[in-house]
Amino acid sequence: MIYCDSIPPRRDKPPLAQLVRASSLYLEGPTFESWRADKCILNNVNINISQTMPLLEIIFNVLVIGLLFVYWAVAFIILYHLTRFGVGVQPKRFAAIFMLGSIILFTVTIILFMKIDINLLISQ
Amino acid sequence: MIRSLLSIFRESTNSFEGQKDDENIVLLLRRHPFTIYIRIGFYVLAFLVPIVAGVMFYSYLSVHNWFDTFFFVSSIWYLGLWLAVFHSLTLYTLNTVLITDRRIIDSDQHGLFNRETSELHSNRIQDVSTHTNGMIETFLQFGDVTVQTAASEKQFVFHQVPRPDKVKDVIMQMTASKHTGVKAVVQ
Repeated sequence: MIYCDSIPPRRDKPPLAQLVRASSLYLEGPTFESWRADKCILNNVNINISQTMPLLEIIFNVLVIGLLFVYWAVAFIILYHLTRFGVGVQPKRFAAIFMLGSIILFTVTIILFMKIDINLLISQ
Repeated sequence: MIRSLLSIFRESTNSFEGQKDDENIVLLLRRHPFTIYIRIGFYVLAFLVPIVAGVMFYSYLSVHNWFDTFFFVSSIWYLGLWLAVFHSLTLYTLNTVLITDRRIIDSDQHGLFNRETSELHSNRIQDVSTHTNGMIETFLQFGDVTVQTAASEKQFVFHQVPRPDKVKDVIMQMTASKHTGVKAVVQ
């Protein structure tokens, strides 16, 4: 853990080379102080990125939820047509298979969605 | 309860909306399965897309540790594909021709919200002809059946139905029995 309180915040923008150096954790300076300064700049950069992340994460989540909602809306229409207008046994069988497959696929999608780290994607 | 629930998936006498009390379905026709196999084949190709993409970009995904994202996008793809497959199957299943002992009901499902139903009473049928076109239709025994009605009304064309000759015979038997009053026996 690096404590940056003792270092006064810079009023000017840090030079690009220093940012690059800090972001790649390349220690050019021979002293611990220069390394600490670089690390603090990196921390500031990370804080700036993390402040913008929630918005992107919210947009991503809303998009996915909207997409899944549209999926179930269309799935309902298909199921309704198959059971309501279908003549014979075949449409009912299709409806059952479709329903079962939809539930399985939807569950898998939700599990995979939970595993996604959107912050990792954005930071890359 | 489970048995009664599963009974809807067993073979039963067909019924449809608007069926008269003593009306019996003689034939329930759908297009030949070959027509849907072509579409299913296209969907099988689409099924392979994420697998091929995963194999092609495996090193790229592993370097960036994007496997979770890739699997999620693939699952969305498969959800869409599942929907598309059953959209096609729904349209295929709902495109039916019902031949009853009284009338012919042609139901054309062009889209989920685009449906056309035509009805033709047996006593108005004048002429029935079949048309088999091409090698595939000949070998797989499917083709078009055209029913000409009395007067100059429109023709009824049932596209790509299996065994069109048998369908023609059944319709002609129905028409004859309607005119003579003798109940037809369909084999």
